[in-house]
Amino acid sequence: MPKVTYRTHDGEEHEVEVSAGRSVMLGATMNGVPGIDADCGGTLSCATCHVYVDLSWIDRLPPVDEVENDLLENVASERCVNSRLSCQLVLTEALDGIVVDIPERQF
Amino acid sequence: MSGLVIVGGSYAGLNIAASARQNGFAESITMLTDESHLPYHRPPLSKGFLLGNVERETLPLRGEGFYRDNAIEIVFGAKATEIDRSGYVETGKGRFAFDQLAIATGTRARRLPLEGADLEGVVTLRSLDDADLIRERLPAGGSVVIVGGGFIGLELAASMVKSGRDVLVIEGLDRVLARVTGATMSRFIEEEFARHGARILCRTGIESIEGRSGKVVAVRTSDGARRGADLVVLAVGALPNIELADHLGLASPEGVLVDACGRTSDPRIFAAGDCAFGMNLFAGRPIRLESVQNATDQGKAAGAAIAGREIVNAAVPWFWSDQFSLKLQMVGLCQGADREIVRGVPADAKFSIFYKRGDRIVAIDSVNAAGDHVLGRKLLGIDHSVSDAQIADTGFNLRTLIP
Repeated sequence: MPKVTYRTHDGEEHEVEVSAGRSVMLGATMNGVPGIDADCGGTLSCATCHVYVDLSWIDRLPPVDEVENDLLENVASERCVNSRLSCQLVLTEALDGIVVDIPERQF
Repeated sequence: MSGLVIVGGSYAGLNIAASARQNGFAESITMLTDESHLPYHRPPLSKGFLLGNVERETLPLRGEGFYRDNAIEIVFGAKATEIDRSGYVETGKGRFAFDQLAIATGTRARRLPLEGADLEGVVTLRSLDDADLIRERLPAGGSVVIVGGGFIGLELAASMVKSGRDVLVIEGLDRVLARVTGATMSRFIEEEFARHGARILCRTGIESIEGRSGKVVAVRTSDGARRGADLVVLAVGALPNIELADHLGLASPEGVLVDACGRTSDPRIFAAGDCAFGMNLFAGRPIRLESVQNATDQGKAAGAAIAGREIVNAAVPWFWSDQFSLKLQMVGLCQGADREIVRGVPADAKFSIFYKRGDRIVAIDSVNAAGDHVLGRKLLGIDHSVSDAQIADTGFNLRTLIP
């Protein structure tokens, strides 16, 4: 099962196993990782599951589509080159070990 | 050690508990729910979950670990029947003593006092159990009559069309979504449904529901027609569950009365979510909102107040709905607007309607235009100045309005 490491804004690390096919967002909400609100449950409506993907992983992710891009334009914490909505990051074995940082605020 | 007791286990209840802990509340927290599930996402019930695209295991708002880590005890199947101000809640699962109490009882689907409303095959949608019941009946084929052209009625209608059912929506007013959007958006949605083969009849009521051997077979509409149906969904709004609070003198017919921090007039009792009628700083008056966003933000404020920290809920209201391939996102409150300005091209199904009152934008409804929506969540919360012509000009970058 792919492992995801979440680093919270206050420096805690959470390593969680998430089934392939599930999202980085679900890995956080279902395993008690704080800081990913996920108000809309992963339907690309709310922009409250923003993460910064560790730069060494960013090229292995599918590209940002138009709706995700629109939502990222106005996330609560600063948008950076490695900003993604974690509901759009679906885990595969190739992403085993991915590391994401959780921003200070989601909205 | 009686701690905090929360009556209700959905978005508001969860956020009250989480926020109380986040803000340093160290006493026990007990959440009483009359359901048998962890608090879960409700929007997929009329859409992805109904169609089998969203798995049941992904519905909980938070996994079990969250409740364990935060020492939040959930008691399932515990329907509260009475709150006593001396400090306890009576339920079918026994008596729960509290030092502080939060009421997050939500709403229930409105039923219609109609002949035949209790026939098998006449359903409402509010809970996961309701959705399971509808899902069981979905593959049966045949005709579905949906009474009510609000969000839940239309989302269900779109899902039923996708699953191959013959769908008729009956709406009493002269357009769908009349309570929540302007006329331009209503017309656009009606055309989209027509394009997908779903019929919508406006200005039409329902007179009675006919059954055979206890099962629904047809409805009689106010135009005199008899319309065959093997499933009838009553999607005619929701009523706040205020009875427990009303008994304590803490509610009006509009809802459980709270301030902008979720406090009732009893210093030990708080309320949040769909059941609460509270001061809304964006609206500038007390209102009751039925939405995930409101339940979340009001719950956070109430949880903080319980922990002794004042966080005023000043959030800009927002909502979303998905129908066919339309991503509808709404921000603000359009009631009381004096004009509508279209930005983008409705024929391309990518546009927003801006609602203005005087110089202020009071709401934005977006279709497949998430950028306008998210921008609106910031813009509507601050002072802004933008002309109607600038709004209508897609070449004008609205982001320049935000400092």
